[in-house]
Amino acid sequence: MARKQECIAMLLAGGQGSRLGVLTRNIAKPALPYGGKYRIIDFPLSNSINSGITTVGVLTQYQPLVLNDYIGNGAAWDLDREFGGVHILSPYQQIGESQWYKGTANAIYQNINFIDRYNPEYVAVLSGDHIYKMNYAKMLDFHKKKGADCTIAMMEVPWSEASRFGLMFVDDNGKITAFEEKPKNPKSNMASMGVYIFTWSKLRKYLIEDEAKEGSSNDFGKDVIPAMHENGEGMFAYRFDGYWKDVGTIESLWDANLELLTESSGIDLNDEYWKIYAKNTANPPQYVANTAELQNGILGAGDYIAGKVDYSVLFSNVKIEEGALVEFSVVMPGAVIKKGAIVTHAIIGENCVIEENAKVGERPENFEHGEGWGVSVAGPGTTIHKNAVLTAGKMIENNIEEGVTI
Amino acid sequence: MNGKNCIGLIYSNSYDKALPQLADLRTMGSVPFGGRYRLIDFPLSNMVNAGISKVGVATSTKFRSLLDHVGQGKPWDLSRKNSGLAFLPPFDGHSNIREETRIGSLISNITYLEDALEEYVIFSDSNVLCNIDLTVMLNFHVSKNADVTFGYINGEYPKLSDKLVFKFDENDKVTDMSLPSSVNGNVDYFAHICIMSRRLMLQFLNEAQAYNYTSFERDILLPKVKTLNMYGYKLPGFVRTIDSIQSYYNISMELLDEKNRNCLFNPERPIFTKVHDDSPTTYKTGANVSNSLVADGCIIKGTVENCIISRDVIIEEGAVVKDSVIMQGSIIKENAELHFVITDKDTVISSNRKLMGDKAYPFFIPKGVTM
Repeated sequence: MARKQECIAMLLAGGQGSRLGVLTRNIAKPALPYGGKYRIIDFPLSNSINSGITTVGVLTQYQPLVLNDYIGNGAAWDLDREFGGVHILSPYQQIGESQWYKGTANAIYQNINFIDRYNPEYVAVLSGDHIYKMNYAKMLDFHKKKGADCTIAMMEVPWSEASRFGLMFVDDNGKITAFEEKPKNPKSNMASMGVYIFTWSKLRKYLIEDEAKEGSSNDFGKDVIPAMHENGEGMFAYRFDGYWKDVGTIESLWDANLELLTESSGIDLNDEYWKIYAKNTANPPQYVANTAELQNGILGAGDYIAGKVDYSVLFSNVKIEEGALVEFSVVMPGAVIKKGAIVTHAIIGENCVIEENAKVGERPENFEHGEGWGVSVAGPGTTIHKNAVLTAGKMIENNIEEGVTI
Repeated sequence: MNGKNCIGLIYSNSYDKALPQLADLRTMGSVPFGGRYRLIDFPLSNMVNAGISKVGVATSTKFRSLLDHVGQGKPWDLSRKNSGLAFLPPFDGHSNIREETRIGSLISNITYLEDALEEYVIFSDSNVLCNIDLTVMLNFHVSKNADVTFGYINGEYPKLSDKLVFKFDENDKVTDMSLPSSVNGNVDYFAHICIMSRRLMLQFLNEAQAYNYTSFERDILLPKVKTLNMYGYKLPGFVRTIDSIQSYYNISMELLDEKNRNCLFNPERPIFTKVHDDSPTTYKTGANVSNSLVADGCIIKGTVENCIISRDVIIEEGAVVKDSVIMQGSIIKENAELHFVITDKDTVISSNRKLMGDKAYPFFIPKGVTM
């Protein structure tokens, strides 16, 4: 008998995140920078290795270049392995047909051969674009104890937001009795987190059946899970009550980053016992100059701070010149904020240059135009030239010329 | 040419005794420096950045932390199928020379050099700090048809034994060498980075073994000044030799000058080090930081001025840290005050403590001490 792995993880990382506009134009959503150092995919990858899962298939489809390069051989997460380790699984050509991943379930279906190589008892299906720390080993124990065929992680969400989620009804034993997919008038506030553990033999059967079904959208939430439920398979909900965030919009990405500055954010990135791993680059320590005024900030390696920084998250190699002001903002790697520039309530993309006396974003309390305030976004690689202005809620993917207001 | 035909050799216990405070429990090469580095990162990175893919790290004693730091050489891309990093611990062979010396350590690992195929050897001690393009030095060596090329520094003679002082002719050829006990003013002294052919180095080591020599400089190089083609290559940019806790402190403080930092942390030739997977550094309300270098994983709530703060340091509310070097994992508690202090790793300074050294005599707190 060949070697086998008890549980492997399949990470869905093909999402575009279309509501994130210019930030995900050239990268997939799981590759989005977060927290001054990380990319979002670091969370499910680190959770996997910390939970003892050493084989992870990463399913990519949309703009995979950055993600492929970032994951590499998986060494950063200790996932470079002789047996198992991390594998990037892109759609591929086959005899007779070749197709993109049609849906989340189809993505797994197309990689049945990959999973079979490890002959696993269980398969964890994870989203590549959620920020959370979770011990999948505990969830697997729950799955085994319940003798479940499918276990879905769920958490309580505020009633006001419940309609955005797939909701579940659960009996006293933790068994799922009914589902409701993004209802207008929610009757439950127990939401699915998009984290599943399946008994592989069962899931394998349902994936093949679903693929053969005419008109199926080949999606876990819409097709496979309901089919399993209808057939009376053992479906259980695993309750999670830690920090969990799906950053689907500009505002929520901004918010998730700045939230780290509050003591009560609920996510601790300094935890020695549940480290979040990321690919490290060889940057020197950050330098804070004499002229700097720096409070309430999270700063990455290699930063140079000579200006004023307050309530902001700065990634690596960011330069804030003397006399510049950055507040309530997220500044991604390699960006330069020059003298006299003001950046407030904004996301500055990778390698942007905000030139002298340019202004990006507005404080909501100063916003004069009534409705429509929002976080301003300078797309990756853009330059906002001298004295130019990017107003509240605007997003750019091209440079703004000198003195121009957008 | 680049380092492909060249093997790197680093001695990690260089002048341990010159820095008893920091190198008593570890090798010189594993002394922390610059917030997130160990001294050996500099010669290792220099070699790797020059295209050298085979590096031997020789050591004689106290090398646990060194072994922990370099491991298989992954951060330097030296964890290779072919070549890569070789750890050369003391090895009780047939040598009659004490292995605690540089020469003894190399002799006990002579097989490593014998088995190599590369033509040249670049040797470096680990108490020299620089970021230099070694391919330039290598090309210099080849173009001069030199037997030995010495990297040298023009500056104040360090307080170290066996430091050669050179005189050159107009072609940089060594015309005279000496080992003075002390000199006034600036001299051209050996920075303990040198290039020679592997064959010649083997010859030197065999000679040392045969005659029971203990000093490379005094016994082997000095007598050969007339017979060998020896040249000097002035190491460019920010180059410093650590010869005491005082110079360690001064050189650390020199990093606060942007010019020196740009030289030492040239992005085209990065200095690689072991990865710790720390979170980014957090500055809280009340933080007041100026002219300081801060590594990742820190939490800063107090005042920091003219400091080097290493990874995972916590500076609590009201604490004031000035002109100090705080090493990894140290905690400066509420309202403590430190001036001109060097703390080794994992120290704890309790609330309201005041510690004051002097610019000329920084106060040193050993590893793991709670004050």
